[in-house]
Amino acid sequence: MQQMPMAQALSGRSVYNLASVWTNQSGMAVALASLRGRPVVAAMVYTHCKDVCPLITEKMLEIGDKLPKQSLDQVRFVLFSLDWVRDTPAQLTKFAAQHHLDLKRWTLLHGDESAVRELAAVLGVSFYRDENGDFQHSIAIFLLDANGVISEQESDIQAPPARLVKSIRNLLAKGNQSR
Amino acid sequence: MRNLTPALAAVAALLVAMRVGSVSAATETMVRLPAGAYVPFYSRDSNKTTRDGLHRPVAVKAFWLDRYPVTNAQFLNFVKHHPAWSRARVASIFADAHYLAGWSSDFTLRDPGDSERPITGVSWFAAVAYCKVQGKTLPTTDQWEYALADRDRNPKALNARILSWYGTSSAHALQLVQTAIPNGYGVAGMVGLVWEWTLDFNSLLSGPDLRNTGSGTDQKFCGGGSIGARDASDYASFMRYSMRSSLKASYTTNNLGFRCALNAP
Repeated sequence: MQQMPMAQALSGRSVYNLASVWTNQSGMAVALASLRGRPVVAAMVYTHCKDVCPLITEKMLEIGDKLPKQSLDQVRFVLFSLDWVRDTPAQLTKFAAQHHLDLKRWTLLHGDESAVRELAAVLGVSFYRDENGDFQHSIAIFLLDANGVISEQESDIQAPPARLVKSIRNLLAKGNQSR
Repeated sequence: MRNLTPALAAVAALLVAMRVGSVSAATETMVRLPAGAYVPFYSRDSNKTTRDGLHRPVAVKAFWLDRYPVTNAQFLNFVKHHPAWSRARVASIFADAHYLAGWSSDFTLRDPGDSERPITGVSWFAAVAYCKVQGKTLPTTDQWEYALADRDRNPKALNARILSWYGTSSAHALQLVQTAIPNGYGVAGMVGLVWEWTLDFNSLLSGPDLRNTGSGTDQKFCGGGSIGARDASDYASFMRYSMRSSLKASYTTNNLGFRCALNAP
């Protein structure tokens, strides 16, 4: 883990201070900092998860559905996989197809163990990988502003999407910045 | 060692660790712990808790563990070579406002006499970064607890020492690491010096985290956590597990330090 050079003037509270590099569903390397520039709706999930991760994904889709098209075009949806062993790009592509994720708006990312642990630590996601390679993990959908600062977090999977939708629209209205 | 890549540094660390030879796997800097098993205080794995609450042992592979917690002098050397981890420059998401508060400035200890005392006031991120530069990692909670359990050589005495330490005021200066008592493996100061970060300090899920998941663990109910404990009267372990689960990775306190581990090849 290294920190971004000061010259980038990244907020000290930005998640993008993490220098980890991930791999997307197409097998391309993605630095976290490359997500800068627009609001991101993100969650940590794993594709072999039977109950809660599909619900998180559906909730994120629902958030997208509630946004006006013009706003939707300015938002990125990112699933960070917890499963550094099984969630290969091919597996992530399969998951994206199963859930009809539009890859123009969605990115699914695979990281190594240290990248996963560091991101989970920054986001405050607790997790445990059991001997079968399955995960217990805390649930949250995060809204990051254009600079990668956590703007909102929803931990109640049953909550209506209205609050996050409103926060996204506020961020966009303020020109993507939150202080 | 700072100019080596982490992979090379790991090999170098191992060579240093193995130099002493075969009579004992203990060396100046690291101790090799043999593979084994231990029964954790909390079972984080629902597959490991039987219906009547008995816990099955968790297997631990052989690994190397630093003999002592990392000292002020060692951490100062790291910060000098990696100034992104100095007080002035560390990103606020990686360390709270009390980061390295025991030092007098970015690159100066308050007292040279602190050199061989354990470093404290470090966040999980800083501890991870330090270990990574050495080609090591933080020990997992299982590795740390396995080392502490010391093959159950003398659990009653161990528990008494832990409780006596937990009951001691932390106002006085920390002990020099070399004066800490080694356990049967030769790992010193796991009790009596500082609390220590583990790689997966954030792996004990309970209460609200899991309540909506619909997965079948007893930890999802309020207060259900204590049902999963190995021995509800083991107050020392309870405190340690509670302390870990109360941490956030950017937290720093004046009694929380760390040591590094290396998975055995």
